[in-house]
Amino acid sequence: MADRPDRMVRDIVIVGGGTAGWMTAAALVRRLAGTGISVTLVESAEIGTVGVGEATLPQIRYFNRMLGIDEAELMARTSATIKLGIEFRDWGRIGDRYIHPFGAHGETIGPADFHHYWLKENAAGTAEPFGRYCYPIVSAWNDRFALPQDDPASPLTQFSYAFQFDASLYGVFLADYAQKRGAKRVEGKVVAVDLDGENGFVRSVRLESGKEIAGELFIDCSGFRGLLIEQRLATGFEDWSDWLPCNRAWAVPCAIAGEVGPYTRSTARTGGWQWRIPLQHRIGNGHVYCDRYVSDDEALDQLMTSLEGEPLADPRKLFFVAGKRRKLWNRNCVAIGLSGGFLEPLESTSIDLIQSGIENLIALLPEADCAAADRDEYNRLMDLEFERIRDFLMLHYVAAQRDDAPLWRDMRTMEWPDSLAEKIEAFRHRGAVPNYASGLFQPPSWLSVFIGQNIVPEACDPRVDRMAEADRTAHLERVRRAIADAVERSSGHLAFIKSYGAAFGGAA
Amino acid sequence: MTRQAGPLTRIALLGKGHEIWPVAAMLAQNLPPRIALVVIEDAGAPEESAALTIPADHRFHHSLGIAVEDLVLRCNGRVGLGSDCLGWHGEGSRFFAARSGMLPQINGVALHHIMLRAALMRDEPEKLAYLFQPFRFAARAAMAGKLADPADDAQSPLRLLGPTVQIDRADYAALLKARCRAAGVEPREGRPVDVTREADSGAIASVRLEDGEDVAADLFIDASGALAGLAGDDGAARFRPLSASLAFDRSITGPGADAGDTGHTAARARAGGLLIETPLGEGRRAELLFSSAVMDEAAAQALVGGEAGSSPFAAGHAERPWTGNLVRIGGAAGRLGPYQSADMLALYEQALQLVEWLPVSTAMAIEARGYNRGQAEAIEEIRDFALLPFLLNGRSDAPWAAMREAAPPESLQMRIDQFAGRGRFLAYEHAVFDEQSWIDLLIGFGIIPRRCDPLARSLDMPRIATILRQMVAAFTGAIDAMPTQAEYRADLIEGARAAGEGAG
Repeated sequence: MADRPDRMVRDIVIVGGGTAGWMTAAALVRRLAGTGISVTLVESAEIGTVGVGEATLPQIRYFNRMLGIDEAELMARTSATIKLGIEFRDWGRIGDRYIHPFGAHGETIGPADFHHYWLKENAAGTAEPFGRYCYPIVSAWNDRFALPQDDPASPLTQFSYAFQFDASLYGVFLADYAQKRGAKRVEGKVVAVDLDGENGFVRSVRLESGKEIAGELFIDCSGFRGLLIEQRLATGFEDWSDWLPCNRAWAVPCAIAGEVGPYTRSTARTGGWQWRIPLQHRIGNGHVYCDRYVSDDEALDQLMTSLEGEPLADPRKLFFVAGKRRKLWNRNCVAIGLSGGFLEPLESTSIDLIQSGIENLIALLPEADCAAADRDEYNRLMDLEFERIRDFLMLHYVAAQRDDAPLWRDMRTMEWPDSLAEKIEAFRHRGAVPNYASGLFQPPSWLSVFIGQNIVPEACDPRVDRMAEADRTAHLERVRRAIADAVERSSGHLAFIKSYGAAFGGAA
Repeated sequence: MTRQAGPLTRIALLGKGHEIWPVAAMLAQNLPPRIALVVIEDAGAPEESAALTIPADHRFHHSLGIAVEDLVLRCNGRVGLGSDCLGWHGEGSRFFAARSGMLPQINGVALHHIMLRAALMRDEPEKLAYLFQPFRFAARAAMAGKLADPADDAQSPLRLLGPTVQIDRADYAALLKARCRAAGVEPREGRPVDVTREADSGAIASVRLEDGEDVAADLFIDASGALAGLAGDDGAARFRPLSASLAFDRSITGPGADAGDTGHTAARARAGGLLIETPLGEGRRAELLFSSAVMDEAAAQALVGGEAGSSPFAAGHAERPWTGNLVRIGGAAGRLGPYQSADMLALYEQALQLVEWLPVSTAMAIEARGYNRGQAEAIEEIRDFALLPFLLNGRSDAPWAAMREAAPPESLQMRIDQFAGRGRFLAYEHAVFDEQSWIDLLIGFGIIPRRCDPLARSLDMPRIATILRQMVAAFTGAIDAMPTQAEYRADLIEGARAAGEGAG
């Protein structure tokens, strides 16, 4: 059991550039610096990247911090704006709007969670809308932004934020970062993948030029096709399209004509939903839909006729299937990014799933034999992450009350996964929200969708009744007032990003 | 047989004092005025004299506003840093199980990985525990007889401390009972002899006590096991026995026979049993788990002192403690034993989760599901933490050697495997114990990871050695500067008195 350098992984090969590939390369060169492990990334300029992911989650800031990236520089180089959450329009009923924020509602005012006091107040008809008790929501709606203050005495301003940026520019930024720190980029198209005759491990990839690149650990970042994980290792795909039926999207950027608010917008349509992501120089737009409910032409028409400014490119059509690889890590190949699975971008989870894949891989970095214990644990963690996100995405559909199109009726009447059905049942019964330690979406996220989409619990936590009505009303009003005042004191979102060196290309 | 939703107005809580008062105190603090609490105390059997060693800052106490001073002054308490485990790897072996905050990492690499790398480089992996010991700040402080409050300062080694408090269980029950009385909860004495069920739903409608009185309630919380036994649906509660891995069948308590006292709770593994001796503010208590096949009653009695006889012990726990309108808590939900005061830690989780899941009406299936799931997660960790030393003991005598052969619960096996494979600790859902305490325990009980974090290979070991020496020196300096346990106690009592006079 001595120190056995001979068992170590020495060469890691990443197949595919793009956001997933370069995020992985950047993280590996940073974290493995000094270990003598080489990182090589193979990509071909001929193969395009999907690159439409523009909205992120706050977790990306931890990733950037781990890389030692300066946020102002990142924002300037990726044309980024601030994101405080996602506005959902027309999801509960047509005309509804709510924000899923990167922060909690209210503060601790008694033994029960804050939302129970609000539910009670709301039932009495004296509450303001739930969003008024949440700092990032009020800030987003007023187009304002100030960096969170790390002031424990002021829980109302404790929130996080993310970015809306040009993902392809982020990829370029990280490619530059990774190569400066020793990642080797090889240009070329992979034409063959050679396996070990004995254990079936990937031994090397061969390029069109005849060049062979060998390694002990391969990261498949080749996108939907899964060049290694599926085309060569036939890992299999767990199809979740019964639960998340959207399978196509049109994407098109347009000029800025409306506000550049610090939030992403998702508007429910008849056969899916439409995104709007404001960047510094353009608005990213897209229509995610299911071809069973709306035709390609109609979906495109719905998108193009609702653009706020001149289209800046031809619309692009994307095809996908919701689901994940049966094993995200198979033999000595780990699938990160779209090669591993796809969940529609309703909650901007694509980049976060890449990040989870990378973090779990670093935590479980194997020896050259890729022990089953490492692989199994990685797959267990990633499966849990995928399933929890899937449930949260489904919640938006199944909690909708729209009755204007078959998609919405079908989603409500289908058989939901037990894990989701139980969560909805517990909220309806007593306003209980899922609370698990590991998992991307925590109670504030579930709450904002439950309440935002008009699910009214039959009862709230009994402990609420220990507080006198007048005290409850006073607490809630104090919280609402404090938030309104704090937002009033903050600066405009655009002024903030300008202070970070933003250059605007639009009318804003 | 789903119960129709009606208003929930009455909760009955039954059992022995040391198990019902912590739960009653939590309920009294959380119930809305419309729900009445009826406490039925089983005063028939005498309370066994026993002691607890619990985290001083447990969130149960936060929630009730109980300060460590209250525990010291009113529960014959003494503050410490954990439990001394003696003889678990044969006579003379010692491991101090201290609560500990996370040790600092060096270049993103955990200290135990660095020491593992050092051990592997020397081709002496078995020296891991020895090499790691100097970094176990809290354990070293405890073994040096020193004690201090944890510091908020991220730079100070004192931030690693997690004090525990050793208290008398009966005094503790009395403290909590007094709080309940102050909140208007008056106990009555009694023991259940029969139950009546609702005809349509099958829910328990009332319980008949020995004196013939029927007590009706919408929800029954039973710590005695008597009601659960009468209800006869223990099958639905799914009991999981643990007697293979915690193979003692009797327990006995007493005032303690051995005069030796390090100030800390000592858990002594010995032939045929586990003796837990807890020094208190005044005097001490001893509790022995033993195997009747190996040790006779007289020998057991001699070890704990006193006159009381032993009682049966069977480790195990209910996987679904809440069935229908009956919640099993305390001994009715299972026994994990006195080591690490696991039974009290479990009771805290029961009390805290009960108030989170207070039923909103008499239809309480969703509450039962939520509570049972939360319990399963919390009890799993307490059980695994308390079982690990039994499963990994190094003794060759009975029944210790056999316990080593027992299969650990799956959740624990998975963690042992992950740690043994690569020194990674996989956190539990609710993190009842600190991660560092788990890592220390795994190393202390002989798990040597086969390989270290690959990132540890990026470290320049000779340069790191200097940093490590400085860290150990800083730890030693901080321990030297800490007050002794006796000085700490005197200060605490003095401070509490001064505060009392100031307030008065």
